[in-house]
Amino acid sequence: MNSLDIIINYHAAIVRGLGATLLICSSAWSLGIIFGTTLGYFAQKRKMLARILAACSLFTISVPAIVLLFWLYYPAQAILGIALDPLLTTIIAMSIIDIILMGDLIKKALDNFPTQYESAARVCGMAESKIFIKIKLPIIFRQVLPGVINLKISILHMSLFGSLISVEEIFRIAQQINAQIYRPVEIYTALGLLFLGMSLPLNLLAAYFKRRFTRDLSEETYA
Amino acid sequence: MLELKNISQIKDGREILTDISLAITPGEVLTLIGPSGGGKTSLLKVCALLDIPAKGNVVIDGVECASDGKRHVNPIMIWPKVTIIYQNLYLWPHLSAKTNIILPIENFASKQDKFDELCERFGLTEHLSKYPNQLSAGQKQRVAIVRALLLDPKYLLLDEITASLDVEQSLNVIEVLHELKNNSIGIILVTHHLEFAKNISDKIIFLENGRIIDTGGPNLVDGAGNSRIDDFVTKLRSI
Repeated sequence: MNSLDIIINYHAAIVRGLGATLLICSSAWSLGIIFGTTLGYFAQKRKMLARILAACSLFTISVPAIVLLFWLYYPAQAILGIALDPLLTTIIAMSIIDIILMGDLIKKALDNFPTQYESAARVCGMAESKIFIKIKLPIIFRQVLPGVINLKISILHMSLFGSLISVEEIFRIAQQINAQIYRPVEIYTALGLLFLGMSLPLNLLAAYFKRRFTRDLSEETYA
Repeated sequence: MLELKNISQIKDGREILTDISLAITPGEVLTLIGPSGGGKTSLLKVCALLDIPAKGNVVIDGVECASDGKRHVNPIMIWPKVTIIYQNLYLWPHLSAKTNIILPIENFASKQDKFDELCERFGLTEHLSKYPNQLSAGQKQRVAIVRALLLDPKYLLLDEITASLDVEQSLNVIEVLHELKNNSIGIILVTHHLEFAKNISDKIIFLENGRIIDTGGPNLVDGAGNSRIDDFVTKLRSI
């Protein structure tokens, strides 16, 4: 039985696992984009929020995602006296990470935005809303896009930790299939291929945007 | 009239402009010369209301726009009646040359003829689809000039705009500035090109360490009897 046979034979379970993985990721990605962007925008305007975001960002990149997930699943729920579904706990953990890192990306892009582009627009008589929509937003969007895509890929990879608190996502399904037929090479190769299939387009997109837009924003000119 | 009265400006705790007064009327060209770091660009920013002076008044067409660290009118009411072309140009990098020029214009259709004429005149017609990083320094400078001219400013502030232009293009700019002058546009110009300044200016101000050292007519660059200016002019001409 090769990797393809395993995918075909266990397609129902694999689709279920993929569904759970995509649910975790799409939830974290969407919440990250909405709340992370909002957080980054306001953090750039308010110093106190900027400090809180910087501390949270330091915490998020220093503490492994699995520790945060376990902390949310065991001690946090015990302290709060609640019992959350493992899938929901994983979504919350991944969303927290996505929101904080997304907020940090947006804030840094806003911090580094060359104000001269804004003042060049102002002296041309452009309204603030037009400056934001036509100049600031597109430039920032291009700057953060490769970083955002890399972040989303990291969230996809981190979602596997959900298997450790019994979330039936794709990695746990692979473990269950392996427990039944013991074909680790084929199963984990198939899993690798599935992740490659999901990550590769995102990686290519990140590389494309990096190539395309970094060039446009460079100060380099032809003599 | 664009008028600065007793302007002083402080940046990072240091006084960068001290008690500057000047005025230009529509159709007049005033040139600021002087060593680098003397406050010329800072003064242009105050004229354009991009910076508010710590002391003194900015009065544009009889309206007190800013005084003593306070803004009295929303500058959106002033721009682009007063507009500035920076030395570093700051074309928007994600937009083509054409979009850079037409984006600020509300009703482009009414200015299509003028746009075509200016692009032709400044040799930009074949470069309109290019992005700023695909243009040479001179081409970028011309895009910035066309962008400003299409805005029909009443007062045009120019910071070293001929720095990256060849002789032919510089002459082109001089010709355009003469036309603007004849069309009653007031111009404040910062330049290190003394002949350019002499050719176009009605008044020249020599600025150093944020202070006006001397004011005069176009002949100021030929030697004003002021040893500091003579020294500066001699050094500039020896380059």
